[in-house]
Amino acid sequence: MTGRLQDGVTIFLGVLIEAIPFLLLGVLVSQLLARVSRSERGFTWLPRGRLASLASMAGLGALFPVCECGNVPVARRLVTRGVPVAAAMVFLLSAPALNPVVALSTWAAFREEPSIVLYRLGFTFVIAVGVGLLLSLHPRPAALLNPRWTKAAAEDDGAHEGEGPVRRFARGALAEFVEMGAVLVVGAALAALVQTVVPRQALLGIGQGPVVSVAAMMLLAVALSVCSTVDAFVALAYAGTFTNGSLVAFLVFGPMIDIKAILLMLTIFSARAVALVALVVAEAVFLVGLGLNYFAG
Amino acid sequence: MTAPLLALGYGAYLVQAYARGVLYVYIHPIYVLPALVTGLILVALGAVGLAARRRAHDGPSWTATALLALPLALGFLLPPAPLGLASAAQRGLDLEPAASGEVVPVAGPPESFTIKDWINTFQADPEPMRHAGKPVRVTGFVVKDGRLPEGWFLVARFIVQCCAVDAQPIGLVVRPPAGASPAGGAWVAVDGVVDVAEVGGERRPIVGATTVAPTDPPAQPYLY
Repeated sequence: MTGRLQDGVTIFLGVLIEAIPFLLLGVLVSQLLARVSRSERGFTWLPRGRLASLASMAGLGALFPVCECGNVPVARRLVTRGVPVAAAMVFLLSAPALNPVVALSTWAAFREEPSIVLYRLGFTFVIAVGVGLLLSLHPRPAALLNPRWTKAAAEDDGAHEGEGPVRRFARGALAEFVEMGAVLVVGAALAALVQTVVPRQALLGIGQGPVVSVAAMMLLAVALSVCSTVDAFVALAYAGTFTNGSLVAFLVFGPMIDIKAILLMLTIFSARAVALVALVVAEAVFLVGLGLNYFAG
Repeated sequence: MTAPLLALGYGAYLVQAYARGVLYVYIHPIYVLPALVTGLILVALGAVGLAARRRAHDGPSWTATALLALPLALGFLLPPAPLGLASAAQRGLDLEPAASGEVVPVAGPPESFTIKDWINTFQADPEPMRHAGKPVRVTGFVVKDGRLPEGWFLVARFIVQCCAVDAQPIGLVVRPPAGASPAGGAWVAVDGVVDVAEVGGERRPIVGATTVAPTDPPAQPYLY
């Protein structure tokens, strides 16, 4: 076997072994939510106003300090439990970055430049809530969901009533783990492929251009698909060569939109909704990166 | 029955990989224990699922099964191999690596320094002459580089923050003793002293090696 193929396999398995614990944690939380919140009252504790309820979903990430792979099962459960589609999207976009673990790891990596931590958290919040407001204007929120999944979720909720709680929990967790795991495998394979094929020096040549560096770091975030809890350390490797705006763009964009996240989002939302959100987020992050490079020095 | 079997497969894979100590090839040590716990939970879930014996139509799709079986097959059938030359070339090895985080002078006897410790030391005090003569004893893999004089090489390791996906290679320039010419990618133990030489148009600290001995990759192949 050639060295490149061998390294590709190691990276592929590395991403999976790294992500599976977080995925499983998310699946277990989702199954717990499914059992605990069986009552009809659901999520009545959400604030009434549109902006307030979306903003509070952005804060929910603090309670689920896991990466994007763990949040998708939780978001799916929130939707089946009656949380508005736009609010679930806000949760998905913000939770991977707006939580104490990520704040801490970003601060640990960028102690020299604490403003990067503040920019990361602040812009993640603003962009996530902004996308949520946009989606909440949709006349038929149900159309934003993946039709195949809504059907399956409806059937699943009613079935298997005669089962004991442990078995039902295990069955639900297994089904969810296998479904999301398969998506994760594809994401890990793509990340490994990009890593072994695209020379990193090709990206590094463009680190100082105020515009092109932002685009390059956003592409890198999509391609690498590193978990949000540690991506700050990855960004650090580029701190000397890349503009600050591009580093913030990497840190804000990566947890929201990367190969893994997109594939996992498609299991809940329709392809059109995911494409729209990815586009809006990409534009917003790009503008943030440019703004920082030109105005924040 | 497919979902419980897949969970059992993944659980068994993680537990045996932990027991054999090969998880270090893939992930940072802080994630090794979570990987083991995950393996145990998956085994338990799989066992409960098998015992439940639900109807066949519960199972996952063929695509999902095939996708999940692929990494299991790779993990069980192929010997675990730490990242090597191909990734070092793809990611690029700097003759003068950028500082990762704040530069802290490394304490302790120089003989115990890793390649990463040396690079931090050289960055904390960039004047090469002040390091000349310090004893060096490091382990890494050999990377040949066109910027170096004939026969010289870099002894390299990867720095890993999370998992193999973010591995970044670093290396020290080595001037081998006469007769030693290890192949690219081979793991070697290098003994020698810090010397100063002009490499790639700049005066740099290098390792004037007295011995270059072939060795096995360490159990923890990366530096953190």
